Amino acid sequence: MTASRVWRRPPVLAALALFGLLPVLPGEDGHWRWFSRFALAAPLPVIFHCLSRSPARRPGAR
Amino acid sequence: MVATEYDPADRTTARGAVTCRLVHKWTSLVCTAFLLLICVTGLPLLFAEEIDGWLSPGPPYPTLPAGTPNASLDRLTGLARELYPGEIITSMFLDDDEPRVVVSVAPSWRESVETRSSNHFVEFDARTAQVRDKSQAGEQRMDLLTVLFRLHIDLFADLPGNLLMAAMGVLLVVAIISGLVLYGRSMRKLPFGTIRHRRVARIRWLDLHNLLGVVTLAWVLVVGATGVMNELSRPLFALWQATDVEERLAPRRNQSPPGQGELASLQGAYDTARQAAPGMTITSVVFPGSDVGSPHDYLFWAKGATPLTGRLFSPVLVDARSGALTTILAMPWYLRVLELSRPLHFGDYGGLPLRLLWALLDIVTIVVLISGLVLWIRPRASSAAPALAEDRPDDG
Repeated sequence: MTASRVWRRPPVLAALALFGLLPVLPGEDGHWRWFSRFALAAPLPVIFHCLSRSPARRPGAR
Repeated sequence: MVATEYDPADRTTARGAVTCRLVHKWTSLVCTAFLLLICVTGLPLLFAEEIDGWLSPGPPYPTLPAGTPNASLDRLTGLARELYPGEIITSMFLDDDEPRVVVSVAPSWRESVETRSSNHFVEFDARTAQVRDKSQAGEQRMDLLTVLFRLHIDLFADLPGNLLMAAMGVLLVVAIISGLVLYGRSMRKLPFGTIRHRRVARIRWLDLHNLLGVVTLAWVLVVGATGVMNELSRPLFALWQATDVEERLAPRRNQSPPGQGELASLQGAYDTARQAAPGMTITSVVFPGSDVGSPHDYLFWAKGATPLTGRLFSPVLVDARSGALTTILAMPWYLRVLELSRPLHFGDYGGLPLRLLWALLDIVTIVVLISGLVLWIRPRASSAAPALAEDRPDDG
């Protein structure tokens, strides 16, 4: 499995989301806190990718 | 709502899948309308501060020299009593973002509890003690954000509404877990994130529901679970008061509580509380006699200065007759969990970018809910074959 597919798997996305929620717990602000906050955004490019890669609907197809 | 495959060789697994599908279907259906309401009202509430600033900006603050001290709290309480003679002060909010103090007033403690509209307020500039805004008893200020907030948390039904919404949150968690089990079965023969555009509309809705549901699963689970915690905040605080607080107040049970005319200096009590909680910021004080305080003490709520301790509040009790420190109460674990669950629910721990992200994920959740409804409304073509057909990859 390629790296680009790994991060599209549900457990990886869930782990990223949980990582993004962690900064509510520890102390001071820092770069890693900003980085982890944006881990929460991982679902958005995945949704965009999956919706855009699917072939267009063929007219009259079931 | 998610397709499963019937395998005669494994009846137990098939029966489990049918049960899981039933659980997912009915837990989802029962809570979907409530969740749609919660998601739709929660969206603008993410930006409540900005919207409030636009809708009711309030009078501007006068420019004063840096370091101008705040007015004495005793002066503010005196002004509030002059404005509303014969009424009682129930609490005071000391804003740590803006130089303002909001004093809450009611005709009596009894009316304060029994008639919500009898509670009103006067807002002062914390430095000049000028009145910035005020309301009268019985005056209903039902602005847009208040309506959205009440719909979001309790449907205007107070505690029963809180409990109903908490129950809907629990159903959501059950629906997510059962949905995840079904997702694993239905996606065995499909690559992740497949949208079978060439199949019938119901299959496309199913794929969309599965994709959006699974990628936002962790976020929805956390926001849903922390929402349940928030809905239970009133019973949890009541439990704390009936146990820990009651135990600390037991020695003074036979003493008569002080009337508002017998209260010690509020400014003095505030200074005492600040000394007792160094490095903390006091954000509010509840006057003695309140259901959510002590009959004999001022109850000051103090919070820390770091990102973490700024979420954790400590209650400081100061004797309302003598002005002496009574105690700093320890918060039980369940209220600490509640406090930590709030930023996870509100998404307010990372500035505007994080709130925008919360909004986008909220919109995705609305699509998941609507697609789930579509799947329920659009019945499958027949009862037996489609379960197999729904597992079939796009063959176009």
